[in-house]
Amino acid sequence: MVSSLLTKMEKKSVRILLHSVFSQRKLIGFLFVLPGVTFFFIFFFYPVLNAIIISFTRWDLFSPKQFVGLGNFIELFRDPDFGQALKVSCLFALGVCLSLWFVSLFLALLINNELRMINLFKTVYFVPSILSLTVVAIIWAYMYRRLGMINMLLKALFNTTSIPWLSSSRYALLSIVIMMLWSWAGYYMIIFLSGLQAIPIDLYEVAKIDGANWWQRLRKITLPLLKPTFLFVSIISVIASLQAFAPFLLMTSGGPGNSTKVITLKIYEDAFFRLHMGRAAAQSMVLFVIMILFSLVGFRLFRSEDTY
Amino acid sequence: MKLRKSQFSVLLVIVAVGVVFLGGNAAGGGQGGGVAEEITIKYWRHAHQPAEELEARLIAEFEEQNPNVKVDMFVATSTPDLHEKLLVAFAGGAGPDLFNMEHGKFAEYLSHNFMEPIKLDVFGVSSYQQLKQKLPEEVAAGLPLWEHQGKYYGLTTEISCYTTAINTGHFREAGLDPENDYPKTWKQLAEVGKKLVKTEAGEIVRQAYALTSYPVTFTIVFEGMIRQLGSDIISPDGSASTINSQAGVKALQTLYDLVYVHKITAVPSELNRQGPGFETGDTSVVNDVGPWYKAYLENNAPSVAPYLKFTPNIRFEGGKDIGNPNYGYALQVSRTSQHKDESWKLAKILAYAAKERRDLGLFVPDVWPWPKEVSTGGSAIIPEAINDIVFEAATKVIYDKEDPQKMLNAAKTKMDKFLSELPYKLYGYK
Repeated sequence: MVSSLLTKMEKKSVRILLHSVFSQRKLIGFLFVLPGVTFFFIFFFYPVLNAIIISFTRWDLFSPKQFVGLGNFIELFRDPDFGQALKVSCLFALGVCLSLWFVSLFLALLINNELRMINLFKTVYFVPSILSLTVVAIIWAYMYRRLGMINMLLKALFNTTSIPWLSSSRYALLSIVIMMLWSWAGYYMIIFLSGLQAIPIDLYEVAKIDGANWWQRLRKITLPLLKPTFLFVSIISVIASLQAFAPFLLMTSGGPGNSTKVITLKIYEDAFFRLHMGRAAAQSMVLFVIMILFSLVGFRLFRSEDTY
Repeated sequence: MKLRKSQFSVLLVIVAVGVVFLGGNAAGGGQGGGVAEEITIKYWRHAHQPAEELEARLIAEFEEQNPNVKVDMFVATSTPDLHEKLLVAFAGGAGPDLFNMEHGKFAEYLSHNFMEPIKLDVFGVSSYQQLKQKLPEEVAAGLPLWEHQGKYYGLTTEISCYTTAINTGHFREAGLDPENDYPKTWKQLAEVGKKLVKTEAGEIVRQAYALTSYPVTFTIVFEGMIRQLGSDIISPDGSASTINSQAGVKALQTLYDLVYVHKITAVPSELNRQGPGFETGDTSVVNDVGPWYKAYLENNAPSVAPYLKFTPNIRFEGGKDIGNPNYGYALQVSRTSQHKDESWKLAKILAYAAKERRDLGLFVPDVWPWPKEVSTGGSAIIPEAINDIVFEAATKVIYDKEDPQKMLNAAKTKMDKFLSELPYKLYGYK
């Protein structure tokens, strides 16, 4: 009788356990997220896992993969072209991001006012960010021509000779930085704007009463309370800069020389023209690690305990 | 909200069907339903509007003669674009049945076993000797370019080389006689160029000579210059680069001097331009265009076309009297094609239009200056990596004023590394 009682209790426990795991509510929830999870697995997780595996092999798409361990990574760090590409990518990311944070915050501070036609300005600043980057790159390439719009404008205003914007390694990277700044500033302006509008207005009023001027209000109230926004903007903008590809392919193809050959372009060429899939995957892994490291640094730097 | 059992069951069924449907579509491919006997041949080529129009017409004729066969022609934006797409498509098992690709890729594609030898029975012959007698003269003449171990893999659709093109209107405007005063040597180009170039406030607004900014065409022109000086980009056995020879330095210095010493050429400010500025009337002389350029201008720049005149390629004084290296394209059938017979039949119809192709300039015409230019040029080397390395060195010298010897030494190092890693020998290299 005792043993049958135990069996009954055990059975009941199992039933309760199964019910808690496979309850109808949980199953419904699982079914609803299943398409998204499947999509994520197929189009993100699986390719990333595959890339990690390929980075440890020598493979040209047509012959069987040959495991080489860390061979690709060792070759990378001996390859001066890889070093150059990394340097160009970092310079580009630094140039774009620093100027972007400053410009988009400045625009957000300007827009964050109750002035007439402010919505028009908001729209004008935001529109470039919704244009296709391919179209933007092609149009700017035309504008940067020797006898293009930019040189003609500079000539008319300042009587300068034509600047070889995309034809000189001194200016080519800068040209693309300027173009990306124009394209992206509006988007990050909106993000900063939402961060600014989340700051309670009372804080500013109290500060004004205490005699704080605009610079003090900016330094002591606005910037500290924008830390969470800065965190988001910094991580997203650095990742986007390091992943930039279309402008370099369309405007310079990595030239002149290799002054604008960023790491994404090198990965593309190594993979699809040289068929060095292993080497290309290894470079992707290095880029991935750099982005993760930066994100961790960003979390540390912009960690905010300020609340309001 | 908790669903009733029946509602839950219905939801489960919907999700299950959805998964099966999506999975079935992904596995089955998108060709869709249709009549069982209907065949679709995928044909890929690069962009050249006159040739595309000709082939579209021939394809329509082919489809009329073969009602159960449909031809799906895909046109890539350029040869490098087509090359990239072919590699990826073949790697993914979705390559075309028939493609039209240039000779520089032949060795690479052979090494990957992409192509099928010509099917003699489609042509009603039993040997390659008989095939040569049956094919149009131009196609037969090009067959050896597509030969490997006694078999032929391609039907020639283009054999060409680049030469110099001048704008006769600009010459007359400058008081020059286009029949006699066209530049025969680089030194003469510098002299004539000073009369042709137009400047405004120190800025060149019309170039006398334009440098191509397209790595492929630049390398062909540069290779021609070096060969005239008795050297080459790669050693005769194809194992090492010789680009940093005195010939290479002199060739690069010559181009540099056109920009900064003679000031008849501007630093290119646009990428991937062939014959830059000629079709807009902004350049008087180019030397990176072939006989196909005439049809191209008639289509795209009808106001400039009447002023086009082809002259022999610019030579070096005291150098070899040879033209620019040759290149060619051929129709090739994929080894993995499920419709090899039909593909070769289509290739036959496309290739037999050799006379129309000659009229379009895809085969070199039998008029001056072409016969000598094409017969003395030799074969071009066209791997993408070589073009990129050569162009990188040249842009560092011409755009950034770096030392030519230093840049060519660096180019040699890169090229030697590339050649040492190449799993096949560069084909057709003289």
